[in-house]
Amino acid sequence: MLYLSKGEHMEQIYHNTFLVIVLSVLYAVASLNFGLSTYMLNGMPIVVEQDIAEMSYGLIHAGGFSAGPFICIDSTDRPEIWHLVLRHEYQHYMQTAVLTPVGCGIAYSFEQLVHGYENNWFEIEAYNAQFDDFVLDIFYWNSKEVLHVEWEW
Amino acid sequence: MDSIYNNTFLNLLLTVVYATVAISFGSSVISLTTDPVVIQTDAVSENISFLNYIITPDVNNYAELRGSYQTYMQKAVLTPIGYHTIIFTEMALYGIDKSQTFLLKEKELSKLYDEQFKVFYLNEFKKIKIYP
Repeated sequence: MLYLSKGEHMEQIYHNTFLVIVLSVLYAVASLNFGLSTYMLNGMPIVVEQDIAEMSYGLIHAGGFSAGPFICIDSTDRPEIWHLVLRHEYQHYMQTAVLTPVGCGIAYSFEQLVHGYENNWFEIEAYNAQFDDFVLDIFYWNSKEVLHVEWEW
Repeated sequence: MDSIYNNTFLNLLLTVVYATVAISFGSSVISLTTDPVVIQTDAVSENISFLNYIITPDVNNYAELRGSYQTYMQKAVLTPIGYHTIIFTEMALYGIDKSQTFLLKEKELSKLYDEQFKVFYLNEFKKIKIYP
């Protein structure tokens, strides 16, 4: 326990290297977390098209995934499901924007643990939304340009 | 989530809250790892602590600057939002004046310390030591 005297509470913490490192890391994560959400609430998703299996050294086999402001779509998948995957992942993008990346990560993991992938609330919502018509601006990373995507089923 | 995300009012509200929290934590990271930036100017009549800046009318006034340095450390550890929340809560719970709150009393007490500390003096663009 810290020895506190003469009202020197803050000095004890501020000049303790270990505590400063711990606080700095925690606060930096929190700042990044809320900063990313601020961007995601107002900015467009950054869409990357990649061979996901190759990129993840065979660990991930999916049509796409969303991580913070990035949406990754598998380039080896059938082109006719491109818009479906984009809309599905865009739903996760919105979930993350509203709940913040850390908040959404915790809630998603909890759902996954309790209900499994099929009944995960976040996935159910994304699957329900993936056949919606949509109009969306994206930053397409592969060609480094803003694309206006309009889709009707 | 679409309904929240696409609701202009809620989106704006969340944006303001999240941006404020992000700046609060970000400012604390800078304050925890760097010395305060001191600006001397006649535009202010008393010391003002804002994010990682201390704006002062007299950089040679040790007591006042030490008080501001104490506030700087408090905000670094508690984050600016946490700092103001604690003061406000103490005032509301105990019905006391702001100057009687724990953090402000600690600040006043720190003015009596006789230890040197370092600041980045922006007017001369160099790090200086402040002596009692």
